[in-house]
Amino acid sequence: MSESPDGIRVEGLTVRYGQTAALENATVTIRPSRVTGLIGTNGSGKSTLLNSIVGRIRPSSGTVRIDGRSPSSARQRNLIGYVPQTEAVDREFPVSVRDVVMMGRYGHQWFTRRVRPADREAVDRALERVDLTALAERQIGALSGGQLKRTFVARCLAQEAVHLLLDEPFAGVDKASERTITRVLRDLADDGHTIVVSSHDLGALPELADDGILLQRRVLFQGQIAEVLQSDRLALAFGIDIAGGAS
Amino acid sequence: MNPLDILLEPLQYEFMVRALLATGIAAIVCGLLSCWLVLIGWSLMGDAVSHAVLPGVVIAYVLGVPFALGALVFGVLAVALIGAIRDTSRIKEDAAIGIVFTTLFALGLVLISVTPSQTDLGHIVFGSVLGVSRADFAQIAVLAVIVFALVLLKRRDLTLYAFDPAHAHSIGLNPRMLGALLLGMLACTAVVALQIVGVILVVAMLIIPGATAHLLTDRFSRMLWIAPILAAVCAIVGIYLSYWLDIASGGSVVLVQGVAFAFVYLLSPRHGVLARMRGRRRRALASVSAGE
Repeated sequence: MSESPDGIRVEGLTVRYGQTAALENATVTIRPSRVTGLIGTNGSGKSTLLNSIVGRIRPSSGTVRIDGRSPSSARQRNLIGYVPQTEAVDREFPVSVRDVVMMGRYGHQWFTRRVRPADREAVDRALERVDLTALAERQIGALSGGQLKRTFVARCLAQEAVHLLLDEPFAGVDKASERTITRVLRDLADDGHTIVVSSHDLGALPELADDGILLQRRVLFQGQIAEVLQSDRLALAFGIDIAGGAS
Repeated sequence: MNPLDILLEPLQYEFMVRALLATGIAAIVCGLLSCWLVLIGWSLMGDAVSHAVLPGVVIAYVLGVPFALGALVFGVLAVALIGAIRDTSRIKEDAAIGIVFTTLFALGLVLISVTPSQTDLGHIVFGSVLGVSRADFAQIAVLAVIVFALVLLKRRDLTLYAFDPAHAHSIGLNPRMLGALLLGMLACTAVVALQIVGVILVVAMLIIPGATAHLLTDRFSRMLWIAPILAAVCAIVGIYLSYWLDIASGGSVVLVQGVAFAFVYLLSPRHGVLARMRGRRRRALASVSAGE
């Protein structure tokens, strides 16, 4: 990549929904050229942290900086790619795989989003990287969970964002799709991208992530993934049972 | 009677020509907008806004300003009130919608009852396409052109907003602005259509065509052709029926759209009920024979 990004810095971030704090005083540094796993149970604040980085949630206090910029400035410059949890996707929506991936190009296109040859090429490349070229014209309702997830990863690739945030990319995903997504994310990190992956499932992480952040409404620990996955630390985040199984 | 006469006889009258044109135009813009409304799940909101514009239209009539202006003000007011009630009390959204739009609609009825020249405004409630004047027609045409142009320019952004507002936000678009744009167009099309079918039935033209098209195709770009064309054909058939059978024009237009939906619901090649049943039986048979 031409520019050298700074990565993502979050300082003293507190997010409250009404009375309850979803995240309290979280300070994390997410480095470029690395894959960072956000690890925690459901409700530990993983999605809240990702949404705060994108700027979809306004924190009660604290700051988020992406390459030194505010989230809104980073969004305007197309720096952030976001892969949502796919359970919320309307599968009956009349769009094809290609249509969805093309949506990643909108930030590069003019006012009316007219498709140019460069956009078509970017979409074709993205589809090929996630092995979806053959299914490009298929309506998204006719995809498996893993294929749907790869569609959204492809959209993120077509977007050519610098920092990629993925919310539970391995939930409900078959092994083949998991391998493809892992490979693509590793390549992107080696290319200089910042990759953040939230997960409550620890299986895929040792192979994928360089760093890890352990969340339980606050940051319990951050460091290299091997340190994060030590059983006593996981025990704090998950409780003894799961930690015993994962160590 | 000669079938051609059935089509041509009504065209001798200027009011019928105007009625057919106005209905066709209204059906096309409503049909376009309905594609997004049904996919976002805004049908109830469409119902609410199209009723809530009534007092705005009456006030605009009294003040002598374009109907669309009054409709826009009250459409936005309705949505703001619904949001406020939902967010600041324990009342759920559907109840908030029910309270706000019926109250504003009632306000409209009360305003009509105290406004001189009640006949004109009575048409707004039940529609009176045969009474569309030259000035009404000009207003319908101008609003339709505005909505049509906006839809054409921003259709991809609107579709992204409908499909995945979080992604729209993350690439620097403003989902609130897109929602507001859609809402503004909703209020404008309500004005376009309420002269044809009346305030009460406007929502039909804003839901049925999109829903019907959704059952016929898996491509949004095709929905944007199917819905308006189907809506226009149904609307024109409805006007002819109303002429020959001497029935209420608004009711007739909506009835034809509803019947068309029923046919598609039953017979659509892939998403119709019969096709689904056939598919299920075939799968069941296949699994039985595979088990043997």
